[in-house]
Amino acid sequence: MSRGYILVVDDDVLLAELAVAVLQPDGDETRVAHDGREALRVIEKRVPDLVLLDANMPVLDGFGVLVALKADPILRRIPVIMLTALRSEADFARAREFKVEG
Amino acid sequence: MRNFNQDASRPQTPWFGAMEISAGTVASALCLAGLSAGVVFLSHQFTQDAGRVASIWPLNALLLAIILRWPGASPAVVIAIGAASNVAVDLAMGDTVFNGLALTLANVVEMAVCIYFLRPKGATFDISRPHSLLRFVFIAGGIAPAASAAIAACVLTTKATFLETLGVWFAADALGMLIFTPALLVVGSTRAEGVFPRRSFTEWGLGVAILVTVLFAVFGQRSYPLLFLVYPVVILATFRGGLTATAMSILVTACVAIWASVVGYGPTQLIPGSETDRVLVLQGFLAVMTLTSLPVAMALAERARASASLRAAREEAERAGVEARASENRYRALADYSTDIVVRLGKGGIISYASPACGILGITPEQAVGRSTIDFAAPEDRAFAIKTLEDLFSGAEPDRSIRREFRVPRTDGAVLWLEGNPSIIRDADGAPVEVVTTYRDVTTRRQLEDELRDANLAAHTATEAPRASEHRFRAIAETSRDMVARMDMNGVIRFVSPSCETVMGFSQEEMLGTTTMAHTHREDLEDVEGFFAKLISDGPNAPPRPYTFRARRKDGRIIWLEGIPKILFDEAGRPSEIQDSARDVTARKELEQALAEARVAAEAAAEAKAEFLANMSHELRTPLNSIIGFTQLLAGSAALPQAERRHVDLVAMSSRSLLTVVNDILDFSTLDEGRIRLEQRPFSVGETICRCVDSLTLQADAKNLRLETRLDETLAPYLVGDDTRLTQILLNLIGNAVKFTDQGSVAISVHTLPSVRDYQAFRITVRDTGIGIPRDRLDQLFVRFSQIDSSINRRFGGSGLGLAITKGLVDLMKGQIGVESLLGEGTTFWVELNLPIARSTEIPRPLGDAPPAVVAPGKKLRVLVVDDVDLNRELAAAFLATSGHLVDLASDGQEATALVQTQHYDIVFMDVQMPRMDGLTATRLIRAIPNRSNLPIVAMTAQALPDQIAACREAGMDDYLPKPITAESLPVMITKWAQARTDAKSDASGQLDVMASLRSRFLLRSRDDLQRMNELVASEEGVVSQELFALVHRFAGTAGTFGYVEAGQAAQVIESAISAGRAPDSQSFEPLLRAVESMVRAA
Repeated sequence: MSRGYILVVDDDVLLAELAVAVLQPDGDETRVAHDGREALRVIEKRVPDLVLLDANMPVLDGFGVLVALKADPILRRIPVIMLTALRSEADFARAREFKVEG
Repeated sequence: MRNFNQDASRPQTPWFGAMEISAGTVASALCLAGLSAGVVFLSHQFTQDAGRVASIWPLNALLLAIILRWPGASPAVVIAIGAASNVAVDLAMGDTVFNGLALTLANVVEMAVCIYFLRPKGATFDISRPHSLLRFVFIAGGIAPAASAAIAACVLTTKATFLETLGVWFAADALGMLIFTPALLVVGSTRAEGVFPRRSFTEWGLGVAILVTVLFAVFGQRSYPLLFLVYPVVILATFRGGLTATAMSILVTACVAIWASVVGYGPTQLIPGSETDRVLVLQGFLAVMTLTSLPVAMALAERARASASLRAAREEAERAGVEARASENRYRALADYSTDIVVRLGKGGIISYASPACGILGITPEQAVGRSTIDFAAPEDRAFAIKTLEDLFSGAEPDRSIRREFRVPRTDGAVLWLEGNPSIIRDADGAPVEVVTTYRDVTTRRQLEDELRDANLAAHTATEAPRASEHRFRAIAETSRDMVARMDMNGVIRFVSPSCETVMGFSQEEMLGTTTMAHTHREDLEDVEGFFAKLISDGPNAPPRPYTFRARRKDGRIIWLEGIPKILFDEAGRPSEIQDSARDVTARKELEQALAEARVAAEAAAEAKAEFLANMSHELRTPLNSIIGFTQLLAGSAALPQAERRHVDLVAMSSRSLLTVVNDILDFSTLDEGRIRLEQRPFSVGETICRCVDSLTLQADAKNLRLETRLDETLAPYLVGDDTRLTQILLNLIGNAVKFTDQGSVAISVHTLPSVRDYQAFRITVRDTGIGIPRDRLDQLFVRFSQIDSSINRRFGGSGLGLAITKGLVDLMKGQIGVESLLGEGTTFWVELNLPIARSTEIPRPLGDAPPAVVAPGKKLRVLVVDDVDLNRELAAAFLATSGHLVDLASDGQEATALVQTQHYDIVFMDVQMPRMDGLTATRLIRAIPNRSNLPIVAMTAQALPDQIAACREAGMDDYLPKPITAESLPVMITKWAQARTDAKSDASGQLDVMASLRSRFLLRSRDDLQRMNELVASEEGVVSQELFALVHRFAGTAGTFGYVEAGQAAQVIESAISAGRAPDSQSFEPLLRAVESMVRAA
């Protein structure tokens, strides 16, 4: 695994901590944001190598974040993995729209 | 019976004995003669048929029995009487004189042989001894009769053959002996009877009756061979009647049998052959019976005797025991009620008995038994106690004139005096076996004695003391230049020495009658009064103490007086008067005051200077730190061209020198004020020296100098001390050596010195072959700011403080430092130290185990650097970036705290002094955050004083780095603190713990969620609120992750339904609720 800086975005504290606990031992630097707006703030400060994004969040949800990211020429290159419980076709379609990686 | 009087004390000869010729003796002799004659006659009469020889011959047996039984009897006389009778009867019966004499001679010979062998040298003959019986049988029943038979056979050759005569004579004599002598010896003998149980008269009668009956039955007929019937009767007699009965029955049987046989009755009549034969066979039977039953009887008698004596002994012992116990009880009764302590002691003072009175010592008799009295004596009297015991057990009677008094501590601690009064119990040989002592409490007596003595003494001295004191006082007073005065308790001056005129300006008359208070300065009155009050309360034995006060002279001038007063007390302990000797100390006082003021001023100045220095050095070091750091970074950059690199190196070198100077200044000022504290750590002297030498190798090589190190093998491997400071000392000395040497070598050696236990004294010598130091400058060396001359400074640089600091450190270590030098040849510096030897438990791990100084490649850590100065932040970040760590920066405590709350860091470097929120506060706040207590926080501070460091630790910081930071100091800290943590975290078990804690938190949350869902479902019928949806969604997303598949799936079903637009009713929530419930309950 590469040593990178990963941003975990999830409003569920437990899930976020779980993600950190799993990723940290490999030496990856992790950061947590609990909603979309905070996530964008953090990304502005420093560009992560990967974003793990939950879809359902208050304030600004995962899709909102995606919109913002893809709008920026530099930030659009950040790979994003969406973590979500939504399985409907509609959601998948939406995600594909944003060229989400996984 | 026959009693030949004998005198036991007169010596007896075997043959003649000691006999007194008296009427009794003659009568006895005559009786014997008659008896002998009768026996001889009867013998011949009864057995005359077979020729001359009588087949029964009891005479010799009788005579022998008499002789053996009565040792006093003279054998010669008895034999003579017997012989005479024998001859007489023989002649009367028609024997020729020759025959008569010859045959009698044969008998005499027989007797002689018997006596010779059976009673040698007059010893008594005890037939009851088996040995004796055997001898008797052999001699009297064998050899003796054989001898006499031989003689007789030679003489009597007429009527029968030699052999026949021999045989009959022998048989008759022998058998006679064997039958009659033993029985005669035993019957009635007291020795035999002794302890045989007495049988009743009836039994005796019965026995006799049985005997008579049997004998009659046996010998009253002549048809049946019933001889054997006699035996049982005799055995019966043996067992029931003892020796006497046995002997009696034998004798009776013999007589009856012989008489019966002679008159033609008895079983022997059945024997074919001559009468002689019959008689001889009968005698044979009788002899055998005798020789078998007598020993048995003797054995039984012996046994009875033995058991009787055993019984007697037992009874004796019991009796003795009863007596002894009775006696003991009597004594015990006495002892128990006595108020004195009665004690029985064995050797060594071991107590075998102590009376209850020992309670006055607070112990019980049981506690005393088994211990030695020496244990109870007070230590100071123990030797006396031991000596006393020794004397008592030595055997001599105790000296009654000395007082045996001992101090004996009671169990409550009080000490009693006891006086001991001993009596010695001796054994049969007079040796002391026990001592019985009574101890009396004489404490009060001694007290009274002491008091009397003291009273006498006191009375004696009381009269002496005042007189002597008076004389002394007057002598002093007249001659002293000090003003000597006597005052009463109101301060009224009763006497004053003439010198008062010089001191106070008043004359004696003017002072008398005035009070001291009148002369004392107003401001000092209170102090003086207080001083005297204290002096009075201290009592008569208080040592004299001085006091000072101001007094006003006659001319109004104020002077300082110092007095040493003494208060005199009367017999009742009341103060009676004051004696004082006062001196003018004005000049001294003024001097003291001036000095005190000067000191305060000096101290203030020193304080100010120190503070200034400390501040200055901080101000100097911070920018210096940046210079050094960045130049280091620059130097590390590969892109630098040659010339520029050279410039950078020079800058780096200069800044390092400057830093050294600044450090020296700071060190020196802290040393000066004694603010340096030495650490006490186990370290190796050898390692320290090697490290120093290593760090100077580069410089030495550059100048082509040899660096030699020699360590004494006897040096203890680990000592306790401050190796950092020792390194400083060594770097200074070795560095100087290298600096001031152009060619040759620098030799560093360590020698051990004679040391005290647990300490190692040693000397480190640094010898160089350098330029040397002029002799007149040697003593200036260790003084600060001096260098040999200013030219040195220009050539070699340096602050001039190095050696002064070194000396200061050596002094702090309580060591010695010195120097020897020859100008142009070289210098030797030596340092002697004495350090404790480290105990093995304190020795640090060998360096091999130390964590690597470099971060293992690939481990990138998250570091937070907090410092208000941009420069420092940047520098730190740059240093860390080279190792590849991920660094965050914060500019004050507040920012830092916020960051730490949301982010995870492996280590935080926290500057202490910052605006808005300083490092200590921030640390405290961080520590308050729930799971940040493990986060390593390292302080960065310019002032590494002990109090500062303590404060950092107290706030919760784990370590500290002194500023300025170097490129190496950060990674070292990281390795020390963060490396271990991340290693631990990467354990699989670590991960499992994290998972477990997350799961338990999930379950907790689920419990609350379940409750909320139940509420919502119950209250909102048909409508799904946002909240409910959110809860469901949450479950859908997380339950599966934590392993609760069922709940997750149930949630997903509902969620899909909701998002598809189908509003579920409360029923459809059931599966989810149930699943969550079981999930929560199973937890």
